Amino acid sequence: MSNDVLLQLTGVVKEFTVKVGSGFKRRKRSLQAVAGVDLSLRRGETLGLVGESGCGKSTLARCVMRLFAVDSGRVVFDGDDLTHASNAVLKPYRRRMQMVFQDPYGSLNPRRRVGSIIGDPFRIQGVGSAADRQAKVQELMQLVGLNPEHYNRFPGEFSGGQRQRIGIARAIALRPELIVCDEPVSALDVSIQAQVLNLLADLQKELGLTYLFISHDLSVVRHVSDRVAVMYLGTIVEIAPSEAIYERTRHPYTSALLSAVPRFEADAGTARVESVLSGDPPSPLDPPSGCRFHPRCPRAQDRCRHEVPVLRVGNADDPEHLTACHFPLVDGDAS
Amino acid sequence: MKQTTEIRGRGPWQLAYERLRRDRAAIGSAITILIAVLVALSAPLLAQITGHPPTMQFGHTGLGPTGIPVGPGAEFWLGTDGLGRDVLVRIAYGTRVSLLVGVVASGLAVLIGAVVGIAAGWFGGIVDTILSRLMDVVLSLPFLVLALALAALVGPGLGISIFLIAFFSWATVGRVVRAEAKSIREREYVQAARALGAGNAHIMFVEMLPMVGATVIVYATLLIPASIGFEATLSFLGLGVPPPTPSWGNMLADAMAYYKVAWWLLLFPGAALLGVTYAFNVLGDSVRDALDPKHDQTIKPGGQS
Amino acid sequence: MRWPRIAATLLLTLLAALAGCTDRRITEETDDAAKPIRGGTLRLVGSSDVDHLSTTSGYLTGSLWLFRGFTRQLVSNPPSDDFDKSITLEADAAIEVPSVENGGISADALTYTFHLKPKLRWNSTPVRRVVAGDFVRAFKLFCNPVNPVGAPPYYTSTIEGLDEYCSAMLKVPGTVEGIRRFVENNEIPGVRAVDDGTLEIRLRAPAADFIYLVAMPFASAVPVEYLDYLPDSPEFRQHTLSNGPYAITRYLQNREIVLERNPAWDAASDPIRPAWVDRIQIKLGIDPALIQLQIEAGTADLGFDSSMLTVDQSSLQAIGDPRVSSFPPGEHYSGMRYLAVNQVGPNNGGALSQLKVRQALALAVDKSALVQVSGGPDVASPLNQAVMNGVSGWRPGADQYSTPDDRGDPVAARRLLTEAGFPDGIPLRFAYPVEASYAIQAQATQASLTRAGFEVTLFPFAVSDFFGRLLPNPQNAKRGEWDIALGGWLPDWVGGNNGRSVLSPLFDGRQLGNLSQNYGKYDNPITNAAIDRALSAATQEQAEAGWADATRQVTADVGIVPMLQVKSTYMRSSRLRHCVWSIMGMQCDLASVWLADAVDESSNKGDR
Repeated sequence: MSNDVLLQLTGVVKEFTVKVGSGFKRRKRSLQAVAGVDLSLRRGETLGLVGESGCGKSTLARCVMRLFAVDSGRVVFDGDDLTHASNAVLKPYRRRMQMVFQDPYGSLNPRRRVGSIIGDPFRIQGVGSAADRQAKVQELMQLVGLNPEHYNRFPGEFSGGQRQRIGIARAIALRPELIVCDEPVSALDVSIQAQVLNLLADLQKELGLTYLFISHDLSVVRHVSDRVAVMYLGTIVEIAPSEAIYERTRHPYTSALLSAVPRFEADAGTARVESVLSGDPPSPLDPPSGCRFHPRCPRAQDRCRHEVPVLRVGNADDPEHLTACHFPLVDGDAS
Repeated sequence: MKQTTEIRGRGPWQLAYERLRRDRAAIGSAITILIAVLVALSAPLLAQITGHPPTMQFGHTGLGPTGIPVGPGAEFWLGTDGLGRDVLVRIAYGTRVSLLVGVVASGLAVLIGAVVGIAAGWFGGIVDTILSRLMDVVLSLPFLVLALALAALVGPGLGISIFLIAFFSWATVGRVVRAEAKSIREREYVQAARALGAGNAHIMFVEMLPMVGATVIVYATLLIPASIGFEATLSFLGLGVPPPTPSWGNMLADAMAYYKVAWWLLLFPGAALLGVTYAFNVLGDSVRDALDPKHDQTIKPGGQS
Repeated sequence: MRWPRIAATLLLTLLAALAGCTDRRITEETDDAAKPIRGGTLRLVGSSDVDHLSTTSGYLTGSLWLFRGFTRQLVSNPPSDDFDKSITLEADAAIEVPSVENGGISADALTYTFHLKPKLRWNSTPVRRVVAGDFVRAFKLFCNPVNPVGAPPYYTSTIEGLDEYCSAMLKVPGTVEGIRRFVENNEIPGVRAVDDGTLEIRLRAPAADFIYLVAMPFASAVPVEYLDYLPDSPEFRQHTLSNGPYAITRYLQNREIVLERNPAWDAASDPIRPAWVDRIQIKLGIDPALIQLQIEAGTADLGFDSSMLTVDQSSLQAIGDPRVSSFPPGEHYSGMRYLAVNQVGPNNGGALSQLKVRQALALAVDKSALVQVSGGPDVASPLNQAVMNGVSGWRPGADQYSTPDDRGDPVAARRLLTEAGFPDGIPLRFAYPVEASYAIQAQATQASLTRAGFEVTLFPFAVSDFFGRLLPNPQNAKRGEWDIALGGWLPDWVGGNNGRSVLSPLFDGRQLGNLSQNYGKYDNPITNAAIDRALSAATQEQAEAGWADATRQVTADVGIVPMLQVKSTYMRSSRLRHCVWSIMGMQCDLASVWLADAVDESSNKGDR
């Protein structure tokens, strides 16, 4: 691991326009899915990004990949500002950053043969001759643990885990530097999850990849990440090296998430943490003032309602550990 | 090391084909269509065997003294029409026109519909608005009135018939394809392609087109009989294929005057028209069923016919 | 999808055919000789409305036919199945047909005097006599700027001072007030009401056929009330007045016309209109295919505006259906079919301007085949003169370019083409209207022309487009949009001195402008001079001689290729009796028919 920053996000904001109400009361409202995120990824590391569903982590992933235009802030990849880059400018960068999607069914075109899907990166980026491609595709299939002879099959003929391997093969085809993994195992059986996670880990070693690993499952993140960022309602509330976030939790929300871990595993898709949190999760259409977490925070005080906390180092001994909280937990506070 | 057996997946198309092969109605209609194609191909042969070219008028043998057509018999197997021409040979030549118009016009309509629908669905925004309104306008146009006006302006003919039919048919396909494209656009594999730097052409034609392919094929099959019917209507009104070239439509139009004395003028071309359009319709339904087994959520049944 | 519509049409037709079969088994006694019955409602069905309800401008056959019911002319053709009687004018509103003998026509053949019957009445409130001034008003309104008379040259070229009157009147603003002021303040020098009962018309030059022009419904009396409306406006159509046996009691445009007895009409003054039925109901907007079916089924008695399809008629005649009638009776015909030949087009280096090429066309056509496909010899006959039998100018034995058995002579035609420098034949654009008999005749013609070496391509046009746009516009001929065209002609009146209604519009080379019916732009000074002689002839004989000269010249020049002379064929319901021919309506006269199942209500009333 080096201190070489591969990806730098500064104050990234992404808004969506949604229609609310019905009939004559129907009107357009703006929803801030990502509300000013600062994040940096170092070359070779795995940064875990956790949060409840709907907290904006997948949106952030797509902002990183520039699948969405960013409304404000900056996205800098390896020193190059890609915030407002056109598709044409982006095209060469797409060889260097790739994405693995959550849904192994939805992310593969069911009407196309696997060989053709994995060959897409070469075809689209114009790499190699048509003749080379089949060999490369089969090599990739072997690399991700698929039978190379199955290149003529359709995605429908593969299991979920195998499909995710196909998705991974496609992502690594052009030897990218950064891979954004958007919940890559959440749709898989627990027994399969480990295999895919191990594959990702092996590939990282082999190819020197940098991962932005998104998940709502802290236990998965803990398993793979060097550092972990916790996201709540479009903002990062805590970011720290992996062991620090588990051992010396500072933010009350992270603490609540950790206490809810067993439930995530039992009911992955619809995980909720309300059992340890007071109040309902607020709507991103109408985020709370001050600290966005305050209506549900057991430690909230008047200040939290008015003043937005910023990410800062809480303990000089632990410069990598940043928290956005006016009244952070100190060591031992966590249950 | 050489592979002896290539493992080739059975894709959605093969599965559909196998379902189709087990569908008796589909086999029956396919055979009907095949016969029609054979008849069309062998039209000159029929003319040679009977010795009756399609536009030759047999005033002595094929017409009574007051112009009453001769019924089916040894000389004219399916009788003659009001000008003493051989109905059998004319039906055979008419089959060529009907199939040609049916296939070309619906092919054209489906092509335009698919491209416009995909473009509207993929680009969204202003492009979608413009293309959608365009489709609405085309769909709301009164076909016959405009067809009559245009045919009168340009003059009737095979080309203008094909153009008119395609022009009035593509929007139906376009609307359905657009709806599908809009949902496909949100799929992750489209995002995956974008993440790879894919351009509009790749997404529209490599990712989206195969997904709407099922709809397109179903519509193509169902549009063929509609187009044959369109052509017959145009010819029936004297604005399709100009005489003396036979088409089922203008044969039926001619027959309308003689139906009291010459049932064969109405029966045989009418049966050919109904038979072939019905066969295409049945085949279209079967293709749709074959492509749209319940478990496959990616294909929606065509809502319009 | 459209195919079910065709299927439905087919089914409907098949059902109708079956219905027709059963109906036909009912034998009908032909009891035209039996005593006529008064009363009942005559039911007519038609597809389209009258062109105009005003007598001044109404020109379609259906309109002229309808006018028989509620208008009267100075002189009229009596309805009759005796052809000679039907073409001999009788007195109508006038006491007698003017002649030199009875003093009605002056010795210089320039002044016509009509004495009106005293018992002619308008059904106005109060009932009023029809006076000479009402006829003067008709002539004055010929050139109103809103809806002028259908055939202005007939009158402007004959009546003294009418041409000038017309030029002035066409400049008048097209308002009720503008027209009224002009009509009330200006007189036509040649048309004068001597007193209420006497009308005097002076001609520019002798015109032997003038009396026939007066018989046209254009010259029907116009009551003063008509000046309250724009000519033939919708308001006018709701306020027609009648001096005939019937009056219009209901008029719904394109839907229905109802005529009922006119109480102001005096039967004794009107020997040519027996008027047996009490009521005439005309339903409009009916699909042409259904008209025939309704008559066959007996739910309607006659078609209003449509002639029967020749093929329908020939097939019905083939099975001896007594409800079919062809007019006119005997060896006479009501119309002709011909090929208009474009002599000013650029195609093939202007080949059709060469006489030899046109002669080749004339020789190539197999007219016997055309007769065969047009209903057979009972209703059509080959034509080898530029006008048909029944038009002034036709002469027995004056046929030209006739071929053995009228089968055409492709060998001779080819030889002429070769001599003209076209040994390989020439391509021709053959335009025709999409109407059953035209379409089939066009294809039969194409076949015979092809044998002679012409490469004929058919160009079908919608009927309105063909007669309304393609042919009347000289530019289309000059651009070569068509080389030959299948035309038809019905003279405005059959028999009598009617060259003016055929030879003038079709062959006069000095009238080639817009709307000219000389579609092929034929122009020969010899022909023009002969037409002039005929038009200005003082006697019938001189006129006929002029028309014959013109006809011979046009035929020799192949100004058109004459093909067929045809009769009009109609079908009537089996209850309709005394279907006699009226040359104005070209079918059963509506004032002469009676209904076999009518109940004589008037006699019942008399009993009470």
